[in-house]
Amino acid sequence: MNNDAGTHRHGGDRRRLRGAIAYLAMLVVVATVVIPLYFVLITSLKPRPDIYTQPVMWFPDEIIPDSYTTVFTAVPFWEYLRNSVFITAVLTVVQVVLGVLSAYALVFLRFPGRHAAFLFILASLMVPKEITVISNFALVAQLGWTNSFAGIIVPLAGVAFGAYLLRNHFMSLPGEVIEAARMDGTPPMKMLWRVVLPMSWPTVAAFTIITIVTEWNQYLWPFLIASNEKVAPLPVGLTLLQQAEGLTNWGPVMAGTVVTMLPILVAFLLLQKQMIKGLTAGAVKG
Amino acid sequence: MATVEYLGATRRFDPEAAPAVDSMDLRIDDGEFLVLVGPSGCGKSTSLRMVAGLEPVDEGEIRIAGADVVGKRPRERDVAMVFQSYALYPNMTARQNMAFALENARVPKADITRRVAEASRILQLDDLLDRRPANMSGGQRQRVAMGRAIVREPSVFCMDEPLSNLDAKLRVSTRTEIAALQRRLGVTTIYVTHDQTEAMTMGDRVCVLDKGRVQQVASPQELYERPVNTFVAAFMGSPPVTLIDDVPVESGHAVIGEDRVPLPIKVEAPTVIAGLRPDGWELSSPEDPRALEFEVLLTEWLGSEHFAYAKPCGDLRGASIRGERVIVRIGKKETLSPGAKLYARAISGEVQFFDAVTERNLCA
Repeated sequence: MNNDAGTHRHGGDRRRLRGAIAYLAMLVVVATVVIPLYFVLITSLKPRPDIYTQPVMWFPDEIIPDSYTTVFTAVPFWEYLRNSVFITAVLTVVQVVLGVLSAYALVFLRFPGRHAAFLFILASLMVPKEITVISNFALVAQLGWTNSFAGIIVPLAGVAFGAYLLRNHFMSLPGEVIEAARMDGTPPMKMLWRVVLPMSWPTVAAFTIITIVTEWNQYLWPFLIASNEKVAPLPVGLTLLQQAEGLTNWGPVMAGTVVTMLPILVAFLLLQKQMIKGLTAGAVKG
Repeated sequence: MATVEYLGATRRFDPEAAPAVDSMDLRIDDGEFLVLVGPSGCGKSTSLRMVAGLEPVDEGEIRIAGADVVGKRPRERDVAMVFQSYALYPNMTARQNMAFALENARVPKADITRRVAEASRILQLDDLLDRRPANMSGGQRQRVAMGRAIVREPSVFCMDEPLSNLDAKLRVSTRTEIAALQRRLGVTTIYVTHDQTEAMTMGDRVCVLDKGRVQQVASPQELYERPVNTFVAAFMGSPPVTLIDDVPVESGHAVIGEDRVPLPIKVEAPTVIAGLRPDGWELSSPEDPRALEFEVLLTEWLGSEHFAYAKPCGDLRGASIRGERVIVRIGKKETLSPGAKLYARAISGEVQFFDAVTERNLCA
């Protein structure tokens, strides 16, 4: 009896220890994410001299919006924002639409070279972007697309990742529902709209948000192609803030970063519900 | 309304392995309810899907209403299917689920409304029409799946184990409902199941499949009383038949223990296989010299019937009982506890004899 109680207490201790370790790990992960964000936020709100004091001030004495004023006046912020929104919107629409259509074709249509096409898509996912930058730049320059939206957008509009992700999702849909739709004589595009997509919104939403974030944060390629505010998106524009007065101007840079993050946060809030909802419930038994 | 014919229809998944469906020949009459039954992997679902157009036909032909349908798409075949998982569209209400095929076929709106209402009345779905599958019970989903097939007014219904996801009680009541509905609509129906009770109770005729081959196609009664081979005999009937191997043959009689049962036809072979249903035994006493002695392992009391599972302990003269276990129907009031002795002998007209090598029924 005593023994039993002893092991029981022992087990409880071990459970508590495991819990403590898990919480500690979570704390480390949260800290690595939250501390830099916090630092960005307070730096953007500090008066300029406070930014450069040693030791670092974690809690500023005074909060002022001066850096934000600089962002909106020192550089053509609204042009950058417009470019960012345009580039991201076009790329997201293109990638989601083409991704869905190509994945649908790969999974549900029978055509010669289906497997070869899929392998080709898979192979293109394995080539690092850095390798294609030079040849893409040469091509874009040849076409006379430097400093144009076409030059930024077209090379970024590859859909391999989306096609791959959505193909795997479509393969996991209950096969009997697709067969039922076949028996019901559903034409291909109606099959996509009325049967396949309604069961796929969470995945499509997840892919959309991934695409929005990726394209919004594109830096290297737009930096190479864009030379002024006519086409440069926000991340490229922000670098101009950095060198405004000869020395790195951290306050406005951080303010610009905060403003750049906001639209993505909104997109996340709008799409997260869709991502979580399971929509195949009730299709098959269970 | 249509006949369905399999003419040497074959389906091979793997060129190396045996075909899943091996040159199947079967004719299903107009308006007939045919049940395909067999153990897992016997090819019953595959042969159904070949009619529906969900599975290609590698060799041979399948004809619906006389026309070869090999290579035709499912939608060109006028076949409706009820799936095991029901496969309802999760984003649509019951009404939309049923109307979907008709919309695809560009049936006028008024006709769609009328046909959905009619199916809904027959299947008592009126309260469910605006619900989605997620908010329905298993039995309700099953009825909607039936409704989706009925509204199309097809020439053939294909049903792939539509009751296997229901609980036992609902399965029994739905079983009779489906059979009655099919008789009322008069649509040719192919029904796949692994449950021999469903096969016996629902089908006009039953086709027993094993390893992709048709074993026997007959009425439920004939399958039970005159199975063509030991496989059919063992598969149909619950509890199953008892098979006795290597039963010696002596001057036109099969020797079961001390008992001699006359053989229905002349047999040259030295031994035969005897098959006895649980009701083919007659209870006897230790004094009866022709009775076999068994030791009771367990009894199953089902209310209307009572069965004893027992192992043989007397001398069987070289014969052996498959599975070392016999199943005997005993009286409802009989009390036999495990370990007790049981004496029984074969009722001569009730014994089925099979060839010792081919295992085919000697009278077939």
